[in-house]
Amino acid sequence: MVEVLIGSGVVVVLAAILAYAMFYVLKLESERPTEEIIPDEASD
Amino acid sequence: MAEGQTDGHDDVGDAARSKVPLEKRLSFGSNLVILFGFVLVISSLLVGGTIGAMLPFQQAVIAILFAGALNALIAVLIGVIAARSGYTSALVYRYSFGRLGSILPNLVMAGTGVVWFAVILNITRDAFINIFGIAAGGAVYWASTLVIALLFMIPAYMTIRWISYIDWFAAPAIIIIMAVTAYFALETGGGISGIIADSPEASTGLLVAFTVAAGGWIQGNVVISDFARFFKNGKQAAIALFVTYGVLMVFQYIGAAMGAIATGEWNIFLMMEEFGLLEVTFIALFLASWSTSMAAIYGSANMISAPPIPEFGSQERHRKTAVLLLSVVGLGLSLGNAEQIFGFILQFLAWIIGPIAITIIIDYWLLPEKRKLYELTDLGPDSYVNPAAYLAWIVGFPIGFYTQEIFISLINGMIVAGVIYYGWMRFALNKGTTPENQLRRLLGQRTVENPYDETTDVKTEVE
Repeated sequence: MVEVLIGSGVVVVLAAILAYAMFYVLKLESERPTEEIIPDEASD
Repeated sequence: MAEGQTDGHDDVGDAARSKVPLEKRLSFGSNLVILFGFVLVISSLLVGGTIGAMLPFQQAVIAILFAGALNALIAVLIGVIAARSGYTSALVYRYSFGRLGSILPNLVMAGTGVVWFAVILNITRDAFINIFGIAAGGAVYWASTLVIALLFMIPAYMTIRWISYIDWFAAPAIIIIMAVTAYFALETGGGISGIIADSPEASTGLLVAFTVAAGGWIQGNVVISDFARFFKNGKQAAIALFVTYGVLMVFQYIGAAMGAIATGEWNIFLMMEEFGLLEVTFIALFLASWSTSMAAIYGSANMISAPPIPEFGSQERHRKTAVLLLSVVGLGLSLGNAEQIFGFILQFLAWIIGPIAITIIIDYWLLPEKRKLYELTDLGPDSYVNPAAYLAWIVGFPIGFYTQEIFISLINGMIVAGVIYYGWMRFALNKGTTPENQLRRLLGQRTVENPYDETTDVKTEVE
């Protein structure tokens, strides 16, 4: 039971860190100078 | 020739020793399919089955959610580095471990990738000989092993596009297998309530299972740069990696765990045999194995195709030679029957690779001074060998191994390694130097200001 509580708590903390990391990365990319962004039609 | 340049006439291929050039970046759709193929693999079903066989269903779900959250976090944070810099995993490691020091993570990752290749080869071969009633140890048995190994190796030998061609078939095949597994698990197990009621007593602690579950994908995470660098920007990479690791992988684990509880088997091939569906589903399972093993050998070859290992011929010739060499090593390892200690292997991968993952993440995301070194072509790694990264790994790996009964051994090793790495790096950077130069001064040696070496350094294609 204790392991389940600790485990569940760890999962919640990790999910929160993941959500923050996604927010941070997407924000960082949106602030990137446009000349550093490769346009979608540039290749492939 | 200055760093970051080539003469523009190199045999580039997948640009294993350089930033991936603009014209070789792929669309979001192509990258997403490659990632789906990378994650929709037999190893996910095997790990899910292993978790399902060792825990009651509710606890298995908690362990799987842990693995999904941790692996998504690591994949996003490492994958975005690759999308922003264009570097392979091996080239990314140079910035934290040093130009020569990156040999340590390169060899660890190449070695663990080859272990995956050997395990998948054996499991697939065993199912094949089972279907056709081939006796183990005979000529047909060995010929089957060799032919399957060759098939697994060929797409990795070609280019990343060949991998995506296989994945176009393998990814839907795995989705079919997932659906079949879940359907028959529910039917055989008497629905979710029946599965919960019939699930096994815990044969291991929940927190131990956390390391097993996460260990199944940590190797794939730390080589994710080899695939994520083909994204056109970090935003696309982050979204695609979150979907594949945070959602798709979790569903695979849960489906396989249900199958394991319903059949009592952890191996997906044996689950299908229990359902009486092995012959019908073998082609789909084979495609799933194919996508796993070719990606493992492709990533491993990239590891030994990067500096400080001297270039053999052109960079693409070097990479292809590495694929051939590692396939032979994988074939040799397949004689060892590593799949029989699958649960331990998953934990071992977590202990040995976890400290490397956290070192890379901290170097880029928590040390802003170092981030520009990754992204500007006229700069490079600032050390030959970074003692902070080595100390973090040397302490973090055994901490994980020796704390198996305390909290979560994978996290223990990563936290200790992370604290050591961040602490020493922050101390050195605040003094305007590097850990290597601090150590050199301490030993009375000449400090290194620009360790660029033309013979072993990376290249950037001229646009």
